[in-house]
Amino acid sequence: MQGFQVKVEIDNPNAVFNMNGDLTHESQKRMLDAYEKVVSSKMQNILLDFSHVDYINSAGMSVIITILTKAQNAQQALFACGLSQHFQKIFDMVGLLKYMPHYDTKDEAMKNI
Amino acid sequence: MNQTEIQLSIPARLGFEKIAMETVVSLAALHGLPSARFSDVRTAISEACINAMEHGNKFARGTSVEIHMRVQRRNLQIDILDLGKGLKGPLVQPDLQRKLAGEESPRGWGAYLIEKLVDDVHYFYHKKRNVTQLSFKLPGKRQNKINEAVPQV
Repeated sequence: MQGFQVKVEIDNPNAVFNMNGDLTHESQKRMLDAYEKVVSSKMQNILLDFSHVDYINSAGMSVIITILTKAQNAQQALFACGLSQHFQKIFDMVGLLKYMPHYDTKDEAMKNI
Repeated sequence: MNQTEIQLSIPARLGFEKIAMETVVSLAALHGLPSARFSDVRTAISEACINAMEHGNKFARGTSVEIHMRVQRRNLQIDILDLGKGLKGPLVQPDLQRKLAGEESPRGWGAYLIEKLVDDVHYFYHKKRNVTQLSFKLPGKRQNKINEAVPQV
C-alpha cells in the first residue's frame, strides 16, 4: 500500500491540500490533523487536490465526508481538483460533487474559487 | 477447481485487496472486457474484499478471504468468500445528507458502490462461508442474461 501524505499550502483565502498516495482509512489521521491546522488559520476555501491520488476506497471517501462535515460546520467551502474520470464518477454517485465542486486542474480551481 | 477457474487467497488485512483487484482485472482483460470498465472492476473487487475482511472475518489474524474467478456464458463471475454468517437483513442504503448532518456514520458505502458498478451481485451463505458473487458481462456473440446466483464455490 502506498503511504499517504498531505501537504497544506496556504494561499489566502484558500488552503490547498496536496495529497499524495492511497486515500484509505489510514489517511484519516493525517487529513484530520491537516484540517485542524486550517481551521485555526480561518481560511475561507479548502481545495483538495487529488492529482496524485490513484486509489480511493470507501473508507477514504468517508474521510472526505468527515472533512466536508467539519468544513460545513465551520462555514468553509470545500472544492476538489484532479480526480480521475473514474473517481469523479464515484464521487458523483455518492453525491459528493453536489457539495464539493470539482475542477480538472489546480490552476483552473484556483482561478474559479 | 476446473481449468477455467482461478482461485486466490488473501490475508484478511487491509492492503491485500489490491492483489485481488489487479488479478481480477488481468483475467477480465484476457477475456476481452473493455478497458473502460477496468476501474469499475477494481473498485467493486476492492470494496467486496474489504467488506469480507472487516464484516466477515473481523480482521482476525491468520484468517483469509478467498476469491474464486470463472468465466461462464460470457460472464466474468467472481465469488468472494469470508467467514461471516450471511447478511442479517437488507442492505441499508447510505444517505449522504444524513451523514453530513451527523445522523449516520460517514462510512458504509461499499455495498452501494458494488451494486452500482457491477452487472449483477448476489449475497448468499454456502458451505459455512458468506459469499459475495459479482458478475461482469463480457463482450461476445453469446450475450445472455445473468442467471440467479448459483453456488459453485
